[in-house]
Amino acid sequence: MVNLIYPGDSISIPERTNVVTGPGIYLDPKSQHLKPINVGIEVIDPSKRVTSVYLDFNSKRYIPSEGDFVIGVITSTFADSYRVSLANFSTAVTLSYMAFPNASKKNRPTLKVGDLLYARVSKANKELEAEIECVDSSTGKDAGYGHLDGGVVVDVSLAFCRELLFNNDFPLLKLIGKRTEFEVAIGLNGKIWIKAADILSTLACYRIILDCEKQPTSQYSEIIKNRFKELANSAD
Amino acid sequence: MALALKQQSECLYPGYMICPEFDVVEENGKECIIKYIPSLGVAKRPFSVDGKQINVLIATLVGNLSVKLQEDLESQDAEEKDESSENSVTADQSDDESKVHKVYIVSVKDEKHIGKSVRDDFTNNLPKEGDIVLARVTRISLQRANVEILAVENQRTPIDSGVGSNGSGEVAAGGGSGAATFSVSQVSSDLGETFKGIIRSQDVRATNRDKVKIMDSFKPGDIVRARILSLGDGSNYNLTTARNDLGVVFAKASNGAGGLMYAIDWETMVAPSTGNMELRKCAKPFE
Repeated sequence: MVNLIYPGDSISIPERTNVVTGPGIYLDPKSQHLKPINVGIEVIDPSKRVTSVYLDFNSKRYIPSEGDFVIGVITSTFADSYRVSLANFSTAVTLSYMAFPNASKKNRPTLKVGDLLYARVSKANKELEAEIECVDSSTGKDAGYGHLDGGVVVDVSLAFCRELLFNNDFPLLKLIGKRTEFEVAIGLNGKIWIKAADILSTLACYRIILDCEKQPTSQYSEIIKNRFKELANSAD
Repeated sequence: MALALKQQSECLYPGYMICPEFDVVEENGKECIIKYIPSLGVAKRPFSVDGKQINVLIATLVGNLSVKLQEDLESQDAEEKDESSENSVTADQSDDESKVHKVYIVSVKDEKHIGKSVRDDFTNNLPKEGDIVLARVTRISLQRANVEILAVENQRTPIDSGVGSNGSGEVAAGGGSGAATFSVSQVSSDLGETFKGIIRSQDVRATNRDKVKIMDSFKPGDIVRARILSLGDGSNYNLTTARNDLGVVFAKASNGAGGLMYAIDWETMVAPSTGNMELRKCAKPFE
């Protein structure tokens, strides 16, 4: 059974457990009580050592948090870093020249202003500008991050992105895959980059993602069929 | 000291003529030339009397006269003359400067603040190089902390308030016994009228300067005791906390959402109500 809770509700956590709080849960520094600060579905996960508590809620405003995969646009270059915009009207984040595979003082990355890239949030302090990286910092190797060439970006809600990225049973990508080949990058900042074999298929994918965000999963195959049919007709 | 000065104990007002620049008194049967140097609240102005121009000192503030003997007279003399006069016996040289035997510093101070630890004469006591100031952290980044200056500490007080001081001792944050006085800025912080300052990450502490993390040194809202390094670029002072008695003196937990925290060592503050600890570059927490 899902439990929808509102800001200010009390959260029922078994006592004497080590709790890790996630999104939507606030530890009041004075009273030391946990309080929900968003409207969402309460998730209490008493796994091995600690109980994780968070709210599953939807929004469109992205707040960087460490470890997130994001899609950003380079807005300016500095002496030793890029500034990258993850969402319009939000504070830009920093991408150091050293946060690339095989980076060195002499070997500078070749990205330009306006380039789209896929990266991982490496530091996210609420008092500081967040930092992202295009390298797996544990191995120092390329881990699929970097420049996204061509394709198209769809702006969707954050919850939809989380579903697409983490839920293996979410049918959308499998269903699109039956119709066309495509590459996809999913940013948890509400951006999905998609690139199919040709422009018409890419455009179809763009429309499918936009439409499917607001529809139940049962409708997906119908939407996909219609979108591809429309584009095939318009191409003639 | 000239007799004329001794009598002026009443309140002076701007434009009041205090004394001429030079004066001659009879001392032990010898002629002694006195020079008066204008300081705070006093200006040197030309004044003509009987068609003759002389320089006089006039008051530019409302307050009481304060005349202090310049201590390091010899170094002062040497500076003014440029060319060296090895033997300090300069009385038989002919020009006026060389005959100066005593130098007094003349200033006009508002004495209504005497005995108070907080003063509102910030405009007469603007932050200058070497001053200790209290500042609030407004913004932090990886390289620097931006602050706004709230108050200037008026004089450095020795750790024992000067009692039994043996030289240049350490200065406790806040002057040890609370003997330090402050000139508090009266302008609005909301309108951005305060003086701004920058503490670069290299200026946070004296050791291991390149490894400083601003995040572990300051948080927005902290009150920091810092020293002015330089006047900076016009929009920002450059400040430093690279001394034991400088650093965060007042901070609240969770960026102000929690309770007041106290320094328990050089880099840790604790909130007694919750026991939570946070990292800071603390000013020397004990004497």
